Order: sequence, then structure tokens, then C-alpha cells
Amino acid sequence: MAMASSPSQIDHLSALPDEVLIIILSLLPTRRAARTSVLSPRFRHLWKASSSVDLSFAYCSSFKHSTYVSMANIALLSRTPSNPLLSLDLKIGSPLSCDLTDLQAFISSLLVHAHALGLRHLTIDGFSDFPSVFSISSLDSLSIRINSTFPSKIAFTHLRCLSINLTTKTSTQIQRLLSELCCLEDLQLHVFAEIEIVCLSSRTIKKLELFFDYIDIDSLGLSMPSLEFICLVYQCHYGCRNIPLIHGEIPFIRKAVVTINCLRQEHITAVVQLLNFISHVEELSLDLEEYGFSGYPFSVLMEPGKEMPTFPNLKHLDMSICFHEFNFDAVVTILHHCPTLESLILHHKPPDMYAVEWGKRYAWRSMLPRNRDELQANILLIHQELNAKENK
Amino acid sequence: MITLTSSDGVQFDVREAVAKESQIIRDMIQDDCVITNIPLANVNHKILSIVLEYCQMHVDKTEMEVNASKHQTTTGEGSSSVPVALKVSSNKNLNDWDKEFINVDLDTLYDLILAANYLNISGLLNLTTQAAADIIKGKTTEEIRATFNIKNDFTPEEEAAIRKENPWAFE
Repeated sequence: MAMASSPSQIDHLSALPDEVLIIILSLLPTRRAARTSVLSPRFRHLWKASSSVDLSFAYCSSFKHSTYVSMANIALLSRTPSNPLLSLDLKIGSPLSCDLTDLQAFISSLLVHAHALGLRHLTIDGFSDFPSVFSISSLDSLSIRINSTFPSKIAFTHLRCLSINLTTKTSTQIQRLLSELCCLEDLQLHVFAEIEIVCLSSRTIKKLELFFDYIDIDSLGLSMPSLEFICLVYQCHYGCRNIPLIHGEIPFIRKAVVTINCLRQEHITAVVQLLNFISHVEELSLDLEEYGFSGYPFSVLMEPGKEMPTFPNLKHLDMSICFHEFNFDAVVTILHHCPTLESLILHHKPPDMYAVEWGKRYAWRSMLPRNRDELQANILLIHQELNAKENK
Repeated sequence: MITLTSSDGVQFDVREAVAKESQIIRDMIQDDCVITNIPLANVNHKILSIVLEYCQMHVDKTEMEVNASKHQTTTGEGSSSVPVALKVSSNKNLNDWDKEFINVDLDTLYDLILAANYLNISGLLNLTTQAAADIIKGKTTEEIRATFNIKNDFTPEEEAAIRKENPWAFE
């Protein structure tokens, strides 16, 4: 590996071995990778060996159907098994300027060919469902939007990572799907309103991310004995209708991330239940936001007259909330219930003052000490208090 | 301890865990457990020291996390005298560290890619090839040629013919 005496004259890129250049080209979108064919003879055909193909329809307004077909022909359909295909991106959306029936048939043929090439990672998101996706048995990871229904036959034997965007009502089929995936470790679920999920169970899932938009269900059961990480995001724009009470078994949970906006007083029971549900975590990140119109501030972490959950293993706590008087008191109480805490990050989220009634704004001011040292001193005090209690 | 010798004869003593970040060294040690000195014919001392800095950092971070959780399980509930510190999670730190680490000139980047490929250090290979791809991504053909000093051997007619082959790429 000789060092260059005059570095600006040496073409290092072309000197890299084929296998490394192919790795670099695989990190470029297919259109960009194909452009390297004119760089020099060295690059003439190299891009065709890229292990990832991006046939997303991001340019649908200007993209003619025939252009798309010729791109897919060269990038995918003319590929032979000597050039393995690892990942395929088919974000199709709802293209306007072509015949959807034709396109659907064409996409299906792409999927069949990708299956033959041993495709491992697929992203597909479009106007229609493609049942042939579920027969690609070689898949390791899949990201998909489900518009209507799951096919009855599922061939995934070693799928480890699944991301589903559900826009259909028939979500009870999710549980059937999960029961057939015996290696699934990572599940991401985006759910929209009008969906009835009652229970999710899996023996193998370690990481679960749930994104709920305008959801309206009363309770959700989770039975995941291997779960280590959970992320819950509830999003509503005019106040959540309902936050489901979560219950079930997650004995090995280590880390939780919870984000809820538009909290109302009637949701606090569900929030406290959620905190109890995940109380064994070592790392917790909470991002909570009240629905500003609901009058006087209240504590979003505590129910009046009820015990606060104890977090026996919590080491890292990261909180983004409005630290008005009630939340501040609740957080102080929580810290008293965290005997093993090592690090703490508190972030004040100011409420949308325009939404708060005139005359009540003062009540929403932050009670956090402005000064970092002062805050740390407060926390140390709490810990000393705790030690004193234990010593008695 | 394991001694790694660079192509220009400089010796580096590193912990076994650090050397084992490299898949080929891991294989060598597993096959023959008495090996203590490994000559690396394709990596000079300047690049090897940068590579080892990367391995050291990643091993340290992983061990720190493992130790932290061990500490938790052995000391149990009684010890609440743990000092409270305001700090960000270590994972985020490592990503920032990687970003800073890979901010090198093209010659060094090229040598690091080759070294990562030769030593089979997957994390470093991902990091360096991604950096190279990012450099290419935002550039026109001419800019890529200029940046990497790629000599264009095509005649204008040949180049036009190639563009015509895949018009969709150049739209």
C-alpha cells in the first residue's frame, strides 16, 4: 500500500478491487449508480452487479411507463443468478400517468424474478396489494403497506424483520401472520384509525415499535416473552380519542420509548398503567404532551390517590414534558422510586400558549431550575434522602 | 496481548479483543491459539494505527456497556450511592465519534477501505464505503471524475452511445 507522493494525480477509486467498488455502488440509488457507466471503461458495466436495486416511483409525474420498464429490465429482469440481489426497493405510491393494471402485472413479474434471485430485503409500498410478496421465501426483512388483506399462504421461513403499514380494517389477521413467523425479531406496526387489534403475541420478537394514529381501541394485550425493546407512539392532532390500556407479559423488557401527544385527563389511567407495564426497564424515554385546551394543568404521570410505580432497574431516564408544578412534583416522586438511576435528562416542553386559556398561562410555567448545577444538586439531594431512608 | 506488525515493520501490541474486531485475525487465533505475532503484509503503520484506533474505540464502548449491566446485576438493589451524571446515551456518542473519525482526506479514506476489506472489519468497511458513496452521491459525472481523478477514456461519441443505452439514468 504505497503512499502517494502527489495524491491529487492518483485515481484511487478505480484502483479499488471490484468487490469493494460494487459495495460502494450498492449504496447508491440505482439511477445514480447507472450514471457511473460513463465515468470510464472501468465503470462501464460494474453498476449492474450492485446488490441493491431501487425501482421506487419517486419520479412518477415525469416518469413514463416505458422508461420505468426499460430501467427495470436492465437493473433487475436481465440479471442472472451470478449477480445476487440482496435488496429491492419498490415504493410505487399511486402513479398517475400510466395504466395501473399493466403496472400491477409488471410489478408482479419483478417480484417473481427477485424471488428467483434469492432476494433478502424488500420494501414495497403502493396502490395495490401484491400477494406474490408473501411467497418470497428467501426474505430476511420486509417493509410493506397492506391495503386490503393478507393472503392465506405465507412462505416466510426466516423473516426476521417486518414493518407493516396497515390501512385496512382486517387487522385481526396480524395475529395469524405473527403466529406463522417463527424467527421474527423485529416488528414495526403503523396503525391508523378504525382498526381493531386486540392482542399481539410472539415468542421470538425482541423489538417492537407501534405507531398509532387516531386509534380508538380500549385495550391491547401483548404477550412477548422475548421482548427487550418497546417503542410506543400515539399521535392525534385534536386530542386522542382513546389510549388503550396495555396489559400482558414482557418479562425481559430492557428499554422503552414512549411518545404521546394530545393527552387529556381521562387518559392518565392508561398512561399510569403503561408505566406500570414497563416498570422493569433499564432505559426509559418519555415524551408526553398535554392537549392544551383542557384547562388547568394536571399531572400526566400520576393518578390522584394512587401509588406511583417503582422502577427497580431504571438506570437511564430521559423525559420531555411540560414541567409545570404538577408534573414537576410527579417527576420528583418518580425519582424517589428509581433506586438505581445513573443518568437523567429532563427537557421542558413549553405548551402552545395560544391554546392555553388567558389567565391560566402562569400555571404552565416551568418549575425546572434554570441552572444545570442546581438541577444536579436537587437530584443528589433526592438520592441522599433515599440513602438516609434505606440506612434507617 | 497480540502483536500486529505493519507492512513497513512497525509493531503494535493490542489486546486480543481489539485484534479480534478483524474477522481474519479472529479466524487465525481460533485455528491456532498460540499465535501471538501476526504480520499484516498489506497495511502500513500509518493506516494500521488508524484502524486500531477504530477497533479500540468500538471494543471499549461495547465492554463499557456489558460492564455497566454486570455491575447492575452483581451489586443489586442496595447500592444507591451511584453518582448521578447528566450524560447522553453511549450509542449516540459512538455514532458521533464515527462521523468525526471518518472525516479524513481521500487518500486516507481509500487506504482505510482497502484495510477494512483486507482485515474484514465489517463495521469499518460499512463506515468507509458509505463515506465514499456519500461523496459520489451529490455529484455530476464531471465532478466525480474531477474529485477522484478518473481519466475518461471514452470518446465523446462512445460516451453519447452509453448515455443512450440507459436514458432513464440521465433524465
